[in-house]
Amino acid sequence: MNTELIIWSIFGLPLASFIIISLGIRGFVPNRPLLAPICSIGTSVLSFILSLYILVQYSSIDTNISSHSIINMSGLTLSFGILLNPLTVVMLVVVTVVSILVQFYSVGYMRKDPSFIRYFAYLSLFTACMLGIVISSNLIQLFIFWELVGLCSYLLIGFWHYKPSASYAAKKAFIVTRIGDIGFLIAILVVVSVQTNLENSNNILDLPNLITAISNGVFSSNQITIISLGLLAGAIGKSAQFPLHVWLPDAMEGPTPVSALIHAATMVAAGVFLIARFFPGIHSSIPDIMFLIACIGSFTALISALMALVMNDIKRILAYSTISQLGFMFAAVGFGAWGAAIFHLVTHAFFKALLFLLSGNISHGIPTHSFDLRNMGQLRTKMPFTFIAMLCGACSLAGIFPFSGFWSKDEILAEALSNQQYLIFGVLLITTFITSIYIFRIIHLAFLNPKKQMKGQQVPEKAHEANWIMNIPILLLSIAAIGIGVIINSPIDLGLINAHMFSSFIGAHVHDLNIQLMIISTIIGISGFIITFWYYNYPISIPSVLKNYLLKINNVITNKYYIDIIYEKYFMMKFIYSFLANFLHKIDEKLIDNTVNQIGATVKNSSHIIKQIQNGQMQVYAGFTSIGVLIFFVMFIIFIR
Amino acid sequence: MSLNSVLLLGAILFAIGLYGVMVKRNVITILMCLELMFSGVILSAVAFSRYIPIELSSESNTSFILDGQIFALFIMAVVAAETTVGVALIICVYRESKTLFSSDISNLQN
Repeated sequence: MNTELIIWSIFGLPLASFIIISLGIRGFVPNRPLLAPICSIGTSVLSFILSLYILVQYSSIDTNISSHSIINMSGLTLSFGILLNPLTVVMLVVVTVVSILVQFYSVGYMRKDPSFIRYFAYLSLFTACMLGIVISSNLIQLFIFWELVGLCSYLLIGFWHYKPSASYAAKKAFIVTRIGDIGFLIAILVVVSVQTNLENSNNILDLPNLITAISNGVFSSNQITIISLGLLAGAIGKSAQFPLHVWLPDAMEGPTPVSALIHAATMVAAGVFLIARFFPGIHSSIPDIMFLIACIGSFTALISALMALVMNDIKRILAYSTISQLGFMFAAVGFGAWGAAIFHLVTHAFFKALLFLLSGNISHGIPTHSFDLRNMGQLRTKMPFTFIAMLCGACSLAGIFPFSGFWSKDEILAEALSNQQYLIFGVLLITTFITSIYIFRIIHLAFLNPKKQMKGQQVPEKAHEANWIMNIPILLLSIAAIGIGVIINSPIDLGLINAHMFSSFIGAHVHDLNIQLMIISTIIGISGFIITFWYYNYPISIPSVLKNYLLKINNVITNKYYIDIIYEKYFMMKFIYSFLANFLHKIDEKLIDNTVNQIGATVKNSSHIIKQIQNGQMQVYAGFTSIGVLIFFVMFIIFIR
Repeated sequence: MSLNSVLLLGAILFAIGLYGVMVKRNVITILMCLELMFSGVILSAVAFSRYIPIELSSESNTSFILDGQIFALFIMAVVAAETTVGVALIICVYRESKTLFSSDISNLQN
């Protein structure tokens, strides 16, 4: 079979589903809403099967696919193509799998929503665009899909647009990511400016050519710095890293399956994907920026884990947790371990999607339909299935042996050690510990029956499990959260499964087994559980001096380090609104408006002179008529004769 | 008496009439000046037909076409009719606005 056709149809099927749902089903059979999920899940399943086929046949297929030029300008060609390498294949499979499971879950979760069909149209569009990012071989093609997933994210965060908080969050997400995307655009423009001056016909907008060109010294070192910083800015915006992390927690206003698919598993990982796409090839030329990436990643991982510790909204905790885990991946890419980063991306996609869907399950099951931890409690007996699945996700996130998160997180930590990044290693280890605490805090407060409860906690009297449509994806994701780490990238040979299958498939560095580290990180993971158990069951009295101190810290973290306030109050209100907008308003008022008004006034004033002629005095008319005739006569004499 | 001097006289008559039309305030006077302009035009027409010979194609001798002079008679008739209408209009305007000054008759402007 034709490889190119297969890959284009992997991308095209969800797109076709979007068109069918939005134009066909929504237009012609709006009273049969179940057609929409059938269409979108069906196409996703087909895409998944084709992706799986590519994955299995990868060694035997021709990965060299030529691109098609869409727009030809002098010195610049915009081409659309497919960049097929192991990273692409892995991402194709992950995106389609998570997409199928989340869409399936959505059928149950969104069943009663009046905009059911629109929801699935958006999900299909998102899946198509995300697959578009994954297969893009051209910078501009990549940027188009990059912006399109941003648009889908905006549409889905603001899905319940009649809620002011949702439309506000959608705007915030769109604008904050756009700040990063300006960097991406600048990087593209630099490449384009070099391309137009280039002698040979190599299109360096194509990613493989770009990486070759960078290592061949086509770019000056300044240009490389701008390009890599620009791409980094785009990735930071999309992956919600510090300082552009503020949009992701607010994005939880969207429907929960959307949070699972877009804001946990796929779209936010696109930043990591982008960096993993570019930076391995140009790593050696920009060590400072790689270090910067590692610092941003580990710093974000730490601060957002701390924020996750104090939040009360379960989805917000998971959102901060996502930022923190993405920080792990950034840090890993930063010290060159992009294989470990992608491995963590894959496992994280599964266990974080699972956790998000479970939070949806809980909110669905309790009478208040809230995501606030204070409205939950003692759900273990009422929702046993959810509890067990939650434990799987939590253990995976906390990195406890042998859950999948353990393997990937451990690989990142081991890579940090072997690259002698001790500071970053330390920060990540602390973050692991905090991660374990906050996720088991959820377990304790929501599911168990601790002696110490939260302020104002009201335990729901009754709660029910979700129906089977919602539970099947959760079951599958739980299995993935337990087993996928060891199955795809086991550090030792397990007979049927080769060691380091994943790392060697994507061509990343394979590190040696580090037993001590494994033991340490598992102990750290379990100690989080023990500490929370102890804290909630055997309340200790803290000395008041220490308590005041802790309360102050708590206050800072609860206010999100005042970052949102700084952005909104000082940056937006003071700088943008008061200064910049005022300044521009002045220019508009004084310069542009005034110019236009002056032109109008001039015309009006000069018209006064001409107006005098039209005074109704027929003698004046006669005079002008005579003068006109005279002029024509004179002209006739001069020119005609 | 050459053609030029007659045409000059016509032009002077026309110019005096035009001056009067443009400058005089009384509508009756304007009407009279209009008559002067017509006289100038008629004089030119008659002069052309009197002084410019036309060679007929069949015979070699020259002859004069009396078109201009006949035209003059027609113009006089039409002018007489026009004056009648003009005076009638002036009487109407006078009844309406009690004035014969052209500067006061400007209410058609709006």
